Amino acid sequence: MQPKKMLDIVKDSCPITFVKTKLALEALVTGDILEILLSGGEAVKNVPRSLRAEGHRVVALEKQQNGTYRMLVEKEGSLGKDS
Amino acid sequence: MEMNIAELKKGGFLKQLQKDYFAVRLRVAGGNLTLEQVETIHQVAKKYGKGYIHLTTRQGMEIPFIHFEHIDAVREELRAGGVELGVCGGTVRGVMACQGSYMCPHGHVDAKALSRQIDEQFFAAPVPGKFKISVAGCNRSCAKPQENDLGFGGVLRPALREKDCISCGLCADLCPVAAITMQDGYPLLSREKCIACGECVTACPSGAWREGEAGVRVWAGGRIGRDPKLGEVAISFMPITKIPAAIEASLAFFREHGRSKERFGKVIERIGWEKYREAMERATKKDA
Ligand code: SF4
Ligand code: SF4
Ligand code: SF4
Repeated sequence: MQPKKMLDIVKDSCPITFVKTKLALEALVTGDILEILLSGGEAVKNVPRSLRAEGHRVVALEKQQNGTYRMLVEKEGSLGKDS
Repeated sequence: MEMNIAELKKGGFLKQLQKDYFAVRLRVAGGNLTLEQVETIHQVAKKYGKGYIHLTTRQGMEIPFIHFEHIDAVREELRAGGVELGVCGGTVRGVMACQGSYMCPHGHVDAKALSRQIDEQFFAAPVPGKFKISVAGCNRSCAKPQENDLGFGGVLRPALREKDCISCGLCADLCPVAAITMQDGYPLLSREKCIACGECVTACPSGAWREGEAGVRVWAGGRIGRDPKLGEVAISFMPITKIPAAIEASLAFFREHGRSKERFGKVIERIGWEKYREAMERATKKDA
């Protein structure tokens, strides 16, 4: 699962985190993987959830040594939806 | 000049320091007004008031500086434009609400809709003292249910669909009471520890944690005033369909034991939490 693109929003806060993520995903095609680096706290509480709510699929999410998170999102991924 | 101050007060007219002037309290449910209502309030305030509106601390609205000669006209013109008068004294007051699940990503229950239903059923109901109710969509408590005589807050018991889990561990990290531990890559829930805050359901990036059952927590006896105190949990989890029964039981308890102008929390403290909780239990456990 090779990310097409990497996005670092560790230093951003809501709602900039959403805007940057949305723009990055818009530049991709369905099925592409976006790698996102984000901070703990509010960002990791909100960004993954809202990506899912908008129809994307969070493939992986890992906590890093330094407390930030690394996430892989599949644009409009179909797996894991209500079935 | 013939004026029955008590009657006027019940009807939402508050006597001002300024001779012959009253502030008119309006009925607002859940902090929402339609544009039509805002327009009506604007027109009435412009015609009879002093060029401004006062926002109360409980999402209410008042038009200050209404001369007593205009009281009937103000009441009629507000009514004709879809605005009802508020209440004062020993009554169920305007019901507060946050945005709740209708708009807020954290909400577990539709606080606005619930506050409208409560307002319809219980607004202005007579009781020994003032009685304030508030509804919040989740335990972040933006509508401050703990500061009200009776408060409701959305809660959510989580359920897991393990096959969707991507083993990220976020739920275990975020749970405020450490009710989740990761075991062999999957979350394990301690029902005893879980406070049904729903954070795991809200945050889970794969949708593996989902709604098991939504309901409300009930706080009672909260107040600000001269002797401020936060409400205590009366019922920790209850289906939303039981809200009317819980209010009914609380008002009945208040009417039976309360002294004139006493706050509800004081009544509970005087009679005993055990007795009040029993009454609530009885009223809300009946049938399904
Ligand atoms: S109490 Fe919860 S649902 Fe209501 S506005 Fe606050 S966060 Fe949103
Ligand atoms: S947050 Fe969701 S996906 Fe992550 S471990 Fe918990 S249940 Fe699994
Ligand atoms: S509902 Fe709240 S307390 Fe219960 S497991 Fe989820 S995060 Fe923890």
